[in-house]
Amino acid sequence: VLAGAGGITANATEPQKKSGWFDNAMNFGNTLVSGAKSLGQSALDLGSNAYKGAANWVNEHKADIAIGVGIAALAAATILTGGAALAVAGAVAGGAAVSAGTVATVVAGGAAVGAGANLIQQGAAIKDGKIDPATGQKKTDINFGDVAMSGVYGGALAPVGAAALGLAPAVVGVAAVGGIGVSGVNAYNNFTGNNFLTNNNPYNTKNNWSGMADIGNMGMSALPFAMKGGGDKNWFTGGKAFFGKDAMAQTGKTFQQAGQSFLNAGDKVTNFILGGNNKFPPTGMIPVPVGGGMMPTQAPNNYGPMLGKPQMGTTAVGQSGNIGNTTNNVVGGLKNEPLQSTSGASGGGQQSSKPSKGAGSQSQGKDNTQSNTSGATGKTSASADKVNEWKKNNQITGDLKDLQKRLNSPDKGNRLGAEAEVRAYEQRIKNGEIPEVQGNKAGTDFSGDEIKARTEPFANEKQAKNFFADRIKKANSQYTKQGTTGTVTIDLGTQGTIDGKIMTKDMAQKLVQQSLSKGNRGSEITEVVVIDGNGKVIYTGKGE
Amino acid sequence: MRLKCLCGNHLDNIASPNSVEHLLVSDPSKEKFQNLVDDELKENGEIDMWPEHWENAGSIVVWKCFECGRLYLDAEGDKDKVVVYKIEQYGIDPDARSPF
Repeated sequence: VLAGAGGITANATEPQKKSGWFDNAMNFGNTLVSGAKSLGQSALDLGSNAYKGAANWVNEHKADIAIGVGIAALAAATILTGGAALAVAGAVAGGAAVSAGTVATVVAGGAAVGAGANLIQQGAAIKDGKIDPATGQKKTDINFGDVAMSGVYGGALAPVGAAALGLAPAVVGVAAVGGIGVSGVNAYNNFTGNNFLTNNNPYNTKNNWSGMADIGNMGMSALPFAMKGGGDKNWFTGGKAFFGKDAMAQTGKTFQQAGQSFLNAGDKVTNFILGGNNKFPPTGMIPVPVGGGMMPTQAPNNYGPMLGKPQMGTTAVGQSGNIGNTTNNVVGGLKNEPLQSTSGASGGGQQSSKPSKGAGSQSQGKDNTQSNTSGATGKTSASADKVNEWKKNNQITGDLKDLQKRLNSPDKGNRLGAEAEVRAYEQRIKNGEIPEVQGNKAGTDFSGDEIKARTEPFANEKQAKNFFADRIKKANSQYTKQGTTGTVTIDLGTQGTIDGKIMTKDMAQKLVQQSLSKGNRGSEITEVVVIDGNGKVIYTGKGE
Repeated sequence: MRLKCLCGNHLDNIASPNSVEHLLVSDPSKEKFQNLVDDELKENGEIDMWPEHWENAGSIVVWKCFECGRLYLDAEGDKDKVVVYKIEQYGIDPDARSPF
């Protein structure tokens, strides 16, 4: 249970702090999205043209052509993209710019691998007279929609894999080795019809189609989770999408789904490239296909094709955000036990008390629930003008920059707290003092005086009573920890009303008296001062 | 009390209610808190010891940075034992938990 003014909320906001790495990553992400969209259009054209013209020619040659083209595509793509993929990986790792041409080459290579693998599968199935599970008949035709879709996903996957290789070569390397190894087994099964290791009947049972596609994907990117299809289609497991009449009939719909997947994927790729929150799947695990059973049985609706969920047979490559001891303490309510200091850093459970420098480490989870126009407009407040005047006249010292920033904060509590501070400074300046703004220095707000302000009017007397008790106790606790005593100033600001009635001296006195009468809350408090928004003292004393 | 967040933002609890201060209450603490409140209500007819009940139940004061979302567990306690949490991700895998 989290109790608080705004709740523990996590609102996504645009990163504000940029770096060279950030800009490069952003450029790369944008380039990638553009490339993916372009590829999606190409896939649409390919599918369309295939049905209109080339299909007849292919129909006469079918299996042999498909296999030959597929193998050639695989070989060409491997040669073509090998260097380019490494260039992307190296650039991302080094924070260097990635050219659009390089990314496009990787995308094209990935597309060729995906399409090639698919052609081989379909050609092999026709040549071997395998049964199409969707129709119950022997497979006789190449489904070019499926070829195109495999190309689409291969193209989308490739640069992600390359980028991942650059960001975390060790992690991806582990996945790649495992994936390629398993892919080899699957390839053997697909070509020979044997059931080596996987104990599945190739072509006709679940898992068979993952094999060859694994080769393409793993070889290109080492990220196997893109193997699942777009939308509600599962393109690889079971092979239905490769042969089925339904797949043919729904080609248009599928391409639409693929387009949406690309949009989703673009976002995910951008997040991925930017590092931070979604660098790796949520648990910090990279999926590795095991026994040809790597594919999800159904693609989740809200996951793009690339950064999918960890599947069965995953290989843990790191513990993310290990907060075990801390969590136990919290859950158990054992406040007095030592709390382990961990950073909760993602990907690998790195323990550090310092923030990561990568993009995404800043400006997330912004909570503007208490914003108002004062902070949002950027206009300086009257209090800020006062501070400027005091600064000009050398009437105040300390961290004025921080104070000015807080006076214009979009966070209401932060801003009103600063304004209460200014009223306290004003009082001291009137007394001939030169107050020091302490900024983030430890200790009470002033030597011997702790300021507690109010951000909202009181709905009723009980609420006011609870507020006084809580804030006086907080101030008392502060003095107790410091080993000192002092006053607490309760600055009601413009919120000094209870159920619409202005708080009087008697009301304030009663509230102070009630607050100090219980819980030993005033043990270190010498005096409670209640003031309004003009700095006018409403009450001073300990409730006597 | 003031705290400089790791992102550089200034946090304090001068004004209240604010968006910085939160209480983390574990399930056992919640039950303990309920008992404390119920006991006082039974004895006095009203609750005056809210701050003490939260504290005695074992709730943990958590400060949240309104800029970066970092959480500081036990922010008002011993400096060396404050635990800082940074946002790791938004949303979870659909299969990471039961639907509802």
